[in-house]
Amino acid sequence: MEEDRKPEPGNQFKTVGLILACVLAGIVAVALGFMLADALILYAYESSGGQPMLYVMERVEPGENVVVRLTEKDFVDHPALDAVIRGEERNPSAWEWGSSDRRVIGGAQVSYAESRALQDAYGPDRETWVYPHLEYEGAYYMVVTTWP
Amino acid sequence: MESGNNKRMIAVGALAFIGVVILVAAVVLVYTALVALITGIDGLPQELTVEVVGEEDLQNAPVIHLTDRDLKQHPVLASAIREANSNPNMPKYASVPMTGVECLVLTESCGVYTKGAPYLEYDGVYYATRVLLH
Repeated sequence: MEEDRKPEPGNQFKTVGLILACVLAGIVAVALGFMLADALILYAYESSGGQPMLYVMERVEPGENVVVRLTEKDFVDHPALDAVIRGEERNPSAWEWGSSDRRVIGGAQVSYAESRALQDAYGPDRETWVYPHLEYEGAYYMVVTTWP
Repeated sequence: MESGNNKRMIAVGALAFIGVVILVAAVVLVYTALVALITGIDGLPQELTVEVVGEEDLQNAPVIHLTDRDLKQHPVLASAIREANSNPNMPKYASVPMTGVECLVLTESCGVYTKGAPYLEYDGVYYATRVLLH
């Protein structure tokens, strides 16, 4: 009788191991699913012929908004941002400080992936939807991107 | 006995593999459907309308002179102007859809959604603009 009971702890370990393996496989599957879906969505947008844009607006004062200081790393990571703020895409609008204390200082065409990366890095806070203001050489900027 | 265990393990492995594939497919399907639904929601649908006007209609109103660079940086405006010029009807006009962000940017750069919006001039042709909310 005792001989029969001996394999039981081994079986229990096997069952626990199997359950753990299933849970792990489930987590990996869900993560893989999200990654695959994300890649598919991005691929579909990139092939759609749409033209996402990056726009940079200058504000006179940052107000109560969070201020983020732009560094060289930001410009290296986002060449489109560099081109608009201090490069060939800088083209302040003729409607100078139009109706408020802000003006568009330029825009550049970006890929959907870059549009999302810029939105993630400099877009509004997910809870308050308030945009951070980016400070560079004493001027304050706000980054908006389109996702047509 | 050993062979029976092996068979059972193979069956469990195959089922687990199928389960993982189904789970991945389900996540992909649900996530893409949700994203498609959410990205369709961008506030009220808006349209930019541009209409060709004569120089005599300006009456000292502010005019913004657009350059090729401006049109390159504002594809919605470029598309509206292009469509208005190819419209055979008189007066020449065109409406193109735009997102909330595009409306904001055009308002801050060309004053399209402001009281007494300025006229736009490109290549010697003057345009009046309006924003339509649906």
